[in-house]
Amino acid sequence: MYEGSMKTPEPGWLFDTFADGVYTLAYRIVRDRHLAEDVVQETFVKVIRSLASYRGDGPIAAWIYRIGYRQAIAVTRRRREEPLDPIAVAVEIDRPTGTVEEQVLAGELAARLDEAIGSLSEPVRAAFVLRDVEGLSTMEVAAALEISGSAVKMRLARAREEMRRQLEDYLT
Amino acid sequence: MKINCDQLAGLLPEFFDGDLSTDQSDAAIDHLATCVSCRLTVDELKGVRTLASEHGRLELPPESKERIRRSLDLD
Repeated sequence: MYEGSMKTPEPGWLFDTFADGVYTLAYRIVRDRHLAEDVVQETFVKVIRSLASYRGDGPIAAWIYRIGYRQAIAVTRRRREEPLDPIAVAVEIDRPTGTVEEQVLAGELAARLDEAIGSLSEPVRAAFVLRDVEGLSTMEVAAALEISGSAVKMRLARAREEMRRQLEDYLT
Repeated sequence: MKINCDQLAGLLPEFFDGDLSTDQSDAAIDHLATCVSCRLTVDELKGVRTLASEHGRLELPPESKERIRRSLDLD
């Protein structure tokens, strides 16, 4: 992972490295495939535009996810009163491979996981996705969400306990 | 240093991040060695993290990735 303090990273490399991660975060927040794609596009427009002023004084992953998170929240606020598109949700949650049985189980698991993550409150969900799905460090999550490390840990504890309760059947 | 179930629960975020002091880590391991209930909790929380990391990530569809790449003039 790029750690900053080097020369300015190349925009194409940034996009290839972080597009899926920003898409994952965006989709988990806005819960709509097309809106999540819009968030990715807008995020990288801002990343590329701001790249020259990026000072490299923190992990670049946290900087990019911070822009993506703000963008996703802005989209969520704009459409708060609009219903979700259930077809878009159903199509997006998984693309399983393997035998038919494996595909059915993987699809079912993906749907349950999607439902469980979606049930978390938005601040808790964002911390969980960045830490446990995307694998950022606690301090990177704190920087991305602009909260303290202890607040991240509290949100993670809440998220993991709720996920444990909801996914119990898959954990034994 | 001995800890009970509630104290272990309070240490779990640092436990999973590997941020416990040596004393805390030893106390957590000693407690887990004798408490089936906490061991089950920790195993299930580990399972949550495994499920999340292995199945929670999404991929931007290739055609969308190409479209956005072009719109950003990255080709």
